[in-house]
Amino acid sequence: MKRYSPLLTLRLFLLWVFLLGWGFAIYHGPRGISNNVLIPESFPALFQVGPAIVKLLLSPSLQWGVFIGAIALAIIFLATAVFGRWYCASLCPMGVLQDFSLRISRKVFRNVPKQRFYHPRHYIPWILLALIAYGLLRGSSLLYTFFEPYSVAMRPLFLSFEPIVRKFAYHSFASDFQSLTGAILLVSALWLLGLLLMAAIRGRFFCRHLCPVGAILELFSMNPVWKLKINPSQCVACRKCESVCRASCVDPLRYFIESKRCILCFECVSLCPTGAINYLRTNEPLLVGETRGESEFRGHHLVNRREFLKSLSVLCLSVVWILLEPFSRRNSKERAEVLIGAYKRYVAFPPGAESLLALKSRCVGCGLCQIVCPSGVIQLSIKVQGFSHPALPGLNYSRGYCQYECRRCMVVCPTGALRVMPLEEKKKLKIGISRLIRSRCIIVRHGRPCGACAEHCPTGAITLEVVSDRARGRRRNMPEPVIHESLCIGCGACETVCPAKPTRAIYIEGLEVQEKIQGVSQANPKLPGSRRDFPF
Amino acid sequence: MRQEVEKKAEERQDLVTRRTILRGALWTFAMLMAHPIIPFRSYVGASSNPSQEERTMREKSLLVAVKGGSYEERVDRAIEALGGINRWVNKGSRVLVKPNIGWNVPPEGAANTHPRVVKRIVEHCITAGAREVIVFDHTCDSWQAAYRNSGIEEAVKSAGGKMIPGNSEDLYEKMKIPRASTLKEVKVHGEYMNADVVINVPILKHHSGAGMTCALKNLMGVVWDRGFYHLHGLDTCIAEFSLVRVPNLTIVDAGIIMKTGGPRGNPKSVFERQDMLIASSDPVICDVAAAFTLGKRPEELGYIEEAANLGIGTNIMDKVEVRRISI
Repeated sequence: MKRYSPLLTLRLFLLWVFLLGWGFAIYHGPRGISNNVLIPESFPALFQVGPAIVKLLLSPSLQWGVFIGAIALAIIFLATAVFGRWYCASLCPMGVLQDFSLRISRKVFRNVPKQRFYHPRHYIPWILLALIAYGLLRGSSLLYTFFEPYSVAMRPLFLSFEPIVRKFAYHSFASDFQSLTGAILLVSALWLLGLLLMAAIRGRFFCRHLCPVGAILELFSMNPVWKLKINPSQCVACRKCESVCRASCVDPLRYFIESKRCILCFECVSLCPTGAINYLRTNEPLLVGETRGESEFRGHHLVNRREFLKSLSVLCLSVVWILLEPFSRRNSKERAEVLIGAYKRYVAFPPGAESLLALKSRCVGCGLCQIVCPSGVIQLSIKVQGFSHPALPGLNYSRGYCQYECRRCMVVCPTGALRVMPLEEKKKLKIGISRLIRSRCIIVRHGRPCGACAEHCPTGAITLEVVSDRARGRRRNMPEPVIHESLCIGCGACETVCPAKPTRAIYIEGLEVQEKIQGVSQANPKLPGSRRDFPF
Repeated sequence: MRQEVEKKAEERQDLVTRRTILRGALWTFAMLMAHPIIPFRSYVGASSNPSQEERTMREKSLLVAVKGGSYEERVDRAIEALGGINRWVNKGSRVLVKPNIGWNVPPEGAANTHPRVVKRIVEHCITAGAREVIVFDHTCDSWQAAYRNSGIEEAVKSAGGKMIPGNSEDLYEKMKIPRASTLKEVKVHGEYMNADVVINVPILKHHSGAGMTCALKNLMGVVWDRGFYHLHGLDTCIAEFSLVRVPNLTIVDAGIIMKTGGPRGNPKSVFERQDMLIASSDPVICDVAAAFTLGKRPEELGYIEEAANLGIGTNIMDKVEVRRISI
């Protein structure tokens, strides 16, 4: 006997707008590629609490993106304080995936275990949250990668859908298996599948036990203005609401729904046979003659002072712990050298990362930059930094090269790990240096005029010049590539297009600290016209 | 009653009526035309093995050069001087307009064909009754960005043409070139082979590898593996590719030309205003005229001579009728 609940409809509407909107944005994004406009793919990610907090707390400078993140956070927190944790059921991708999983399992299997109310253990998420923050400051996103809901849910989706997006939206598909994202996709996908399997059996397992974002939202939803309430005079104690509650927050025997855990899925509202559960103002008495004090008392056996103080003290301790971190930090340059191994220093990072250390402390490895990159040069890989940062984006020039007139990765980055800068500034940002292996070059080796590298170089850093051959002590007639390092920005066009086989003759050595190239003076903007009428 | 009707119908089926004969003939014809040994696409045979007579017929061609005026005026005057677009585009034909959209650079950068030139040509084709006008390039930079920011996408769409992608390998067909010495096999965009009319619309500019990019070099944009060209010699491959199919018409945009730093252009590139348009059905003589315009001698560019030796066109100015138009 299902009751029509407009609130459930509203939630599903929000959810589908969010999901379909995002999918549409990612699919249609490539059609809107322009040199300098807003990017639709970035909007849904802006409203993710985890990345927005990272952006707000860890951004080195006040930039436009930080304000947007702060506004998004303020909206979500305020709405949580008023309406409860609606975010978890309609905007959180991990929550949505878990709901899908539970729904499917309820459709397929008859005897999915019933949910039971239980006393929450609030410390695990808080300890996780503190560890995640500490890890990010130490330059490790390992815990974030596997425990922050946005990152956990979206990375496997982005990485596994990337080939499809490349095929159908970009109409360009790197068909070789080397270019597929490997280990990190496998590990993340298995982790996500495991969590969804738990959700299929136990409801919102992840949200109840692990989610650090949920822990933050709990703070705001302890005493919301509106919440779900059971009317004792109507309740027949059938416990249907309890058995269906995916957050395990309904205690029908005490006529109590714990608002800080309730994610407002409204399932119980539509299932209650007597219509006893309603979304009402918190301080509105339910029973005739019941005072406000009595109705509050019913809920107070869980949100008591001791429990609140415990949570608060864990929070304070972790904040102190985190705030102490910058003082213990040594020279950043020194650490960056310690942390990267010999073979790793060749990897270049997406523009705007500023430095390896900065990127490591702010990137959460969600993979959004990889899926919006028009050339596909950005690729998350465990090979870039190893296990301390398993999903760090590096530039894989065998997939493509960093487009000179593009800054999509910076604009979409939800955590501000890639600093947004004007396009003109980005064009002068040096992310690596081009190196030539002369003996492999087609011009030197085969004596054929190739020049593909010089052809693609957007800054004129590679020119074809006749150079003296020191080894043979004579000048060769064939002009060969010469790299002018002061002009090179490390976009990798030369490496991508170099036709030398089996290994390319030119490669990019990534920079640890991205820098500006010396200002390129614009050539004479006047257009000289030719005097002669017809030159032939 | 009913049985009688059915019986009559059966009898009629056994009869050899005019209709059955016609139907059979039509089917036979269709089956024959569908058979792969029938050269239904006549150009495949014609262009891969051109007889000398055909070549000479084409060589008595016209080179039109227009100077001054706006982009649209130049296109109009050039097509008029060539005898109208109807010489190539018939009612209902599928036309491929192949501009240079290699780079994600705005029109001011003169790295891509100017969108106004492309737009005018598409409009001419549609006025002439073309069923479909398609435009693509195998871009170097990411293609959506290049299509959009070069202004060509918008120009083509507003003129009624259609932009199609060119950066996916499955769009390309493998072609054999028996007469070639180096480029024996090449993957060509399907539309380049299937279109009834191909109009090549390059922009004239400096090129670091090949010296100059114009008519013949622009056809590298319908090829999948350009690395092969670089690996095995640009000049020979560029020349030999035209054995697959010579574009029916070449219209060179030389409005603003990039004198150095090509083909992409860099902050130090030098540009020159020429306000010119060169058009001919012979791509080789277009390249010769273009080389003079860029300030180079045609002998400097290896592929011009090689193409002329292969009989794709002529590289001697005296052999063609040159019509110079000043606006």
